[in-house]
Amino acid sequence: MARRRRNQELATVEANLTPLIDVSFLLVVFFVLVSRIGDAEQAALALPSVAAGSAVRAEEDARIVVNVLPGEDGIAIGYTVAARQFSATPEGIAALAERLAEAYRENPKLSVRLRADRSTHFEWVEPAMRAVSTAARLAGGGALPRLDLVVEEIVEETPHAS
Amino acid sequence: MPREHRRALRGVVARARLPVAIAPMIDVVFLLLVYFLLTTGFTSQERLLRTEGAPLEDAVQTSDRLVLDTEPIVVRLDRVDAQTRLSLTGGLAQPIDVRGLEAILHDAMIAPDRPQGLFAESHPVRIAPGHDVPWNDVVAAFNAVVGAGYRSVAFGSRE
Repeated sequence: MARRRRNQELATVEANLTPLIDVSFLLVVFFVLVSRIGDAEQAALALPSVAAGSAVRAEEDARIVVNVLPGEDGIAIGYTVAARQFSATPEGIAALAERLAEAYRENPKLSVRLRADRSTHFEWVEPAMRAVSTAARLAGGGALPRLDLVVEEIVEETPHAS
Repeated sequence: MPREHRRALRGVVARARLPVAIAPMIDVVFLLLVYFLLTTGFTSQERLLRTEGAPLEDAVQTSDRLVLDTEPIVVRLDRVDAQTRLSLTGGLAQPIDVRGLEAILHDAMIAPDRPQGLFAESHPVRIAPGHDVPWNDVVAAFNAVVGAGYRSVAFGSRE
């Protein structure tokens, strides 16, 4: 009788919360990082490459990113600023300039980062540069069209001594 | 000690042994593995080439009615036979590639060790690419001009 009671006590099921908490943290970390991957301000582009040391590191300063979306044969299919897309037409460029002017009004010291695919022809990048200058003029208030070209550094391997 | 009592005591000792819980350890290891995998992937090589002042020379002229005092050095980029060809104005030698462009412009700059140089570092340089020149080549030319030491570099028209 006593042995049966002791066996019943041993069979008590306990909820082990440790793996549950671990998995929860795992999910939190996963979603935090995935949400960074899907960052709306950066389109997936093959950026122009420069030799190591010639460009500066991208700081987390006040900036707005303009992406030139590449199409086939060097054309651009449009421009994006913070997930908002603009067509590669005069109307689209005007709307882009107005969007950038809004940002300049909020912060005249804003820097604009231009991200374009390395194969995109200059005729499709130039309108975005022109929109930056137009936006600074529209915004007034001493806004300066500060443009940073986003590039990728080539990491050169150090030759091994023979 | 009676035999039955001794047997019961042995059972207690056996049950009191602490088990090693591997599950949380494996969880944490996976957590670290996922963290390092993802953060390594995010270490982007993205860098910035800063332009000083207005990116487009034309835009400055139209907005501020600025008239350039000095004739800028114009770096023309043309697409010929699927290659980008560079050319320079200002009576300078013609570069073969961007390294050559940087060397020519650097040698043409006035410096303490080159008093015979033609241009000051503040001399304006205009990069004038053709409409079909890939952005990679435009950026390479810009980087070469800045690398040569010129501080007033803008993109502009070919005229």
